Amino acid sequence: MQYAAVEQLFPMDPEEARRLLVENEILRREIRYARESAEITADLVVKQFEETERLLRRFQEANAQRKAVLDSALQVAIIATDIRGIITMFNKGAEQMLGYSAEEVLGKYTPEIFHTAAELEEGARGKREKGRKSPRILELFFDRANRCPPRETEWTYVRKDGTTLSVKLSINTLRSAEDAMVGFLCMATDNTEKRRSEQALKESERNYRLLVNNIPNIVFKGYADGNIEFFDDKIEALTGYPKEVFNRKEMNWFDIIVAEDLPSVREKFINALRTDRSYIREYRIRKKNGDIVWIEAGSQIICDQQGRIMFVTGAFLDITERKRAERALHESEEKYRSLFDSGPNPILVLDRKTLEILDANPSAEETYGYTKHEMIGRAFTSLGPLEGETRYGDLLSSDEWPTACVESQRTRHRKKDGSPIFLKLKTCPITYKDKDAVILAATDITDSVEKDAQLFQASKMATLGELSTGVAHELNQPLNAIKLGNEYLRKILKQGLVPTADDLSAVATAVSGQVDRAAEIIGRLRNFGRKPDFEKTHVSLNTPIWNVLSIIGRQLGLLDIEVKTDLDPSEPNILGNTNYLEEVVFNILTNARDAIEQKVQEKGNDFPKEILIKTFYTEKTSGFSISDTGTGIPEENKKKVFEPFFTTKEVGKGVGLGLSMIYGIVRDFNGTIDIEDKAGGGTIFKFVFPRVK
Amino acid sequence: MKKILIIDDEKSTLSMCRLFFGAYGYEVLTAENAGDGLEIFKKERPRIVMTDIKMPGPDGFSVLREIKALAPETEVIVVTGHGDEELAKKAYELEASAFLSKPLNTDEIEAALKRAGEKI
Repeated sequence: MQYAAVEQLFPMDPEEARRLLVENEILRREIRYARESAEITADLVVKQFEETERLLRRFQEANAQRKAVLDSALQVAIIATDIRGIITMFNKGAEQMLGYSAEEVLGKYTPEIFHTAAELEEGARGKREKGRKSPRILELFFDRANRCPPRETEWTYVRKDGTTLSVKLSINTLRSAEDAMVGFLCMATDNTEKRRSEQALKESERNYRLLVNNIPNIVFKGYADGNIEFFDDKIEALTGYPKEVFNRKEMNWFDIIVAEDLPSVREKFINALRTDRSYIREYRIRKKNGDIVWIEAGSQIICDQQGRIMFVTGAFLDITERKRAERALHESEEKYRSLFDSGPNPILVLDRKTLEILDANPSAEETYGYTKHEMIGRAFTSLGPLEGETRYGDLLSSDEWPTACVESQRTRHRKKDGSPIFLKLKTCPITYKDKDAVILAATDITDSVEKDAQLFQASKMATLGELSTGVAHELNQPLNAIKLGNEYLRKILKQGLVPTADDLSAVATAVSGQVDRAAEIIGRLRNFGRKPDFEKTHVSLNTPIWNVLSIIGRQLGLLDIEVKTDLDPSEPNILGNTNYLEEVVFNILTNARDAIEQKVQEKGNDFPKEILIKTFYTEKTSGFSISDTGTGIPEENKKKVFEPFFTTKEVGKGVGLGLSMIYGIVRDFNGTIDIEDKAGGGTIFKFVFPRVK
Repeated sequence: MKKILIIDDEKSTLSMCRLFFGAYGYEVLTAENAGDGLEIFKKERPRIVMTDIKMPGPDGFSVLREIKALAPETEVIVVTGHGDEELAKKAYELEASAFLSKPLNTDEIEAALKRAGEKI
């Protein structure tokens, strides 16, 4: 504006004025723009970088200072005179600078009223030396104006109030259309202020550079058409393109934004225009080498007073790593979610301390018959134990939460309708929504447990078949006595006689006793063959041993096998199931019997035929052992005996499921089996379980 | 009076046998195991012996062998709790007069006794 005014007034050649004005304009613009960029940058990074904040504060102080400086520095004093030095124009800038109003000075002579006599004297010294006594000031003006090229000179101005200021003064001659000199144009700028301003700008720029270089952000200035300018070389590190290609408008920012992100980028911009004109966008750009980089750009749209977009200022941050991490996290969460939601296994998330159910997947809903809604908040213990054994209690009471996962072999839970389900549980510690939690993955093994039960039952039937010979023999004993008693009575009656009261009483007593005995045998047998449940209870190991001996002890005796027992009467207790343990004892006993029988066949009768059954316990374990004096198990077979269908017995004499089934049962009760050689021949089977009191 | 020796580890069987064979006019000698049975046999020399096979200690076959060795003319009836062909075959090989399965019945006992040359 000033420039235009000057041009109107002085159409000749205001080259110096133009230069100065342009320079000032540039300076002002840069400073404003630097400040605006910095303010936005500050918004983005101030929180993260205390150091940056400090720098920024200094920078802003410097800016504020300079702004004040510039406001006044912009006031260029423009004074025009006629050829005699009479002031013809005195602009606002001159009014402000010198304290005179235009009215006061128009028509007066310059330079006298603004200049100090001393300076004028000195300025004129050269002329005086050439012989002149008192050079006119105007001559100095002529002199200066005629120099080529015209140059700025430093002068001291005297204000109306008598104070002085240093100015840069340039003097041009004003010429008429006919090229005749008509006057002078003096343009003065406040030199002290400008010097200070330059100083401040330098300082400010240094701070600004420091700031720009120290923050990870890339400060930019952009335009609505996609042109963009950068101020440091970080953009090259980010994009692979040097800043110059943007600054020279060889490349447009939209050129490197990934095409599919452009719509959202535009949308944000438009939204920002409608609101506070600031926005933060995340989008991808394509580097020179083709790599994709995610950036976050915080921007402020700068508009002029009419609301037209002037430019956009802001800063980029490379967020590729963050995006990658976010994506990885998202993917991992997705994976977890999809596993959780669509996994075939029931999964529950439990609060570690209260065991309250925090989350349940659809499979858990299906398995338990509760809806997710019903399950969440419910105590897990209402479904069943966390584990099939007492370890569970220790686990929760202990402060040390295991970092590894814990598995249970077979745990019985209840559905909503009360029906039992069997599950294999795996529990792992996790953090769920900032809580200590347990993730529990279950495998529904109800089917396989049922199959196990069927197999076990089949095995029991085989056992019963095995028993049948012995049982038939045993049952025939009471039947025989009853029969004979009865045949006696018939014989007497047939002879037309009457049995004596004593005889009748003897027969009646025998019959009654023998029927009881037969019933007892049948009872034991039925007990042995009953379908087992899976409940584990506290069992003394002595119980299954007595039960089995009651059935086959007599049989073993008849084979001349001496069965010795050394049972600890106190508490060889375990958490198990009597019926299953009977099967274990029975199988081992019949194997022991067979081993002895085989040895008889191979080596004759000349060895002690003995089976020794012991029970024992320690602080932590309870166990039993069964040793025989039979053939023994060759070393190479010791590992194989627990394999299904392994048998050394002759064809038809055993299905070979015995020991593999035993192995399964013992493992189920958390027990171990050891096979040892017995000194002098034979085998010792040793079973050890965790003890319960 | 004709004598019969019954060897069986079942006490109730022995007591019923005493009544039963008593009704046939026998003096019934009883023993609960092979050892006792042979002792009584050597002392009383009954013409007819009935022994169970399965007993703790020496079984009925060893009784059969011993008696046949001591007095081959003795009639030995072998009784088993659960008969099978193998046992029967073995009994006849050892020259048992009869092989019976428990529970015993009158007809079989009478037949066996008759075959042993007894008059009943």
